[in-house]
Amino acid sequence: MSSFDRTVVKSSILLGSTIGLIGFSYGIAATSAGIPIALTCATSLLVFAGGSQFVALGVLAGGGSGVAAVASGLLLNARFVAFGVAVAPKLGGGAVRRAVAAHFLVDASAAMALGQSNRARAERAFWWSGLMIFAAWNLGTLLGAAGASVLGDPRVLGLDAAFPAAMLAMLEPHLRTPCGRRVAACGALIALVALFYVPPGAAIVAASLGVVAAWVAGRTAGGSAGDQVSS
Amino acid sequence: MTWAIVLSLAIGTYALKSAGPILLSNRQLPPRAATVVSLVPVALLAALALVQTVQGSDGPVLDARVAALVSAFFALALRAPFAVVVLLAMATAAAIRIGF
Repeated sequence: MSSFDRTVVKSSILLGSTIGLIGFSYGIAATSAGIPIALTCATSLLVFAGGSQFVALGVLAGGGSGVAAVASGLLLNARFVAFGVAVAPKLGGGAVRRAVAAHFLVDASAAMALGQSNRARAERAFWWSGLMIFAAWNLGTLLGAAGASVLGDPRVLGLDAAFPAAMLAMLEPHLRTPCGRRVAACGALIALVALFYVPPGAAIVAASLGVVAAWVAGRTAGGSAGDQVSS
Repeated sequence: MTWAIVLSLAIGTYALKSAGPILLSNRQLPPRAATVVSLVPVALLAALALVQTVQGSDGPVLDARVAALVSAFFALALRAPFAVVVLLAMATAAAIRIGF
């Protein structure tokens, strides 16, 4: 194993352990919401996109319909189109391997791949981190789902704070650009107001209008065109 | 959650994830589309962090999660690693609930 691989494996394990913790909190949250263990584990295996899993769960727990749960989850996952386009040139192999790789595309594996200096390294970083995150996310989900009844209230360990903090961490690079800050602020504000009138899932979907609101706010504030695309 | 919801979400998510690697391997999205696609998650992630922080069983509530998110925010401002941010948020919420 080259020193590059060792570095990548090390950071993938660190990343995986954190993501496993969030998977654990997902397993507990789903089981506490009365969802069977098999279904909870199948969700993590087949969907493998934490944000959308939490959103769908939140919509259903808030009394939303199945259609609303799927729609808000998919809207959140629309970002994977952009990640997929960015990562695609880094992935080698034939159609089958690329098709398999697509399942392991998540925020962190895309970030790992895009952070490398050349294509070969990017591809190895993608696979190592993607597989490690997949293993950790599913193991975490299983342990959380199976252990929920033993553990009791997940709030005692602060597990319900793990997911919002992880979302904020994913948001952080965007908060360092003026455009990103504007969009995030508008999205959060819309969701906050909407939360008083509509179910949580609808509030999150409504937040996507934050892009339009931020664009309008940016124009009024005299933001330059370059600023708009800087994110 | 039902099997129909899980499978719909799984198929839809895979379609979104695989669009780039399978269909567009050597092409780029038009700049305007790429900008919107990259900004929608920013609005959604912010909304998601907020909603998961204040959502109670019966409408919005303010509890230990707010303090946890604030601690995560400061950790990120100091460029703390991902794991530290998440663990600090959990520890903050847990500490407040235990009552220090």
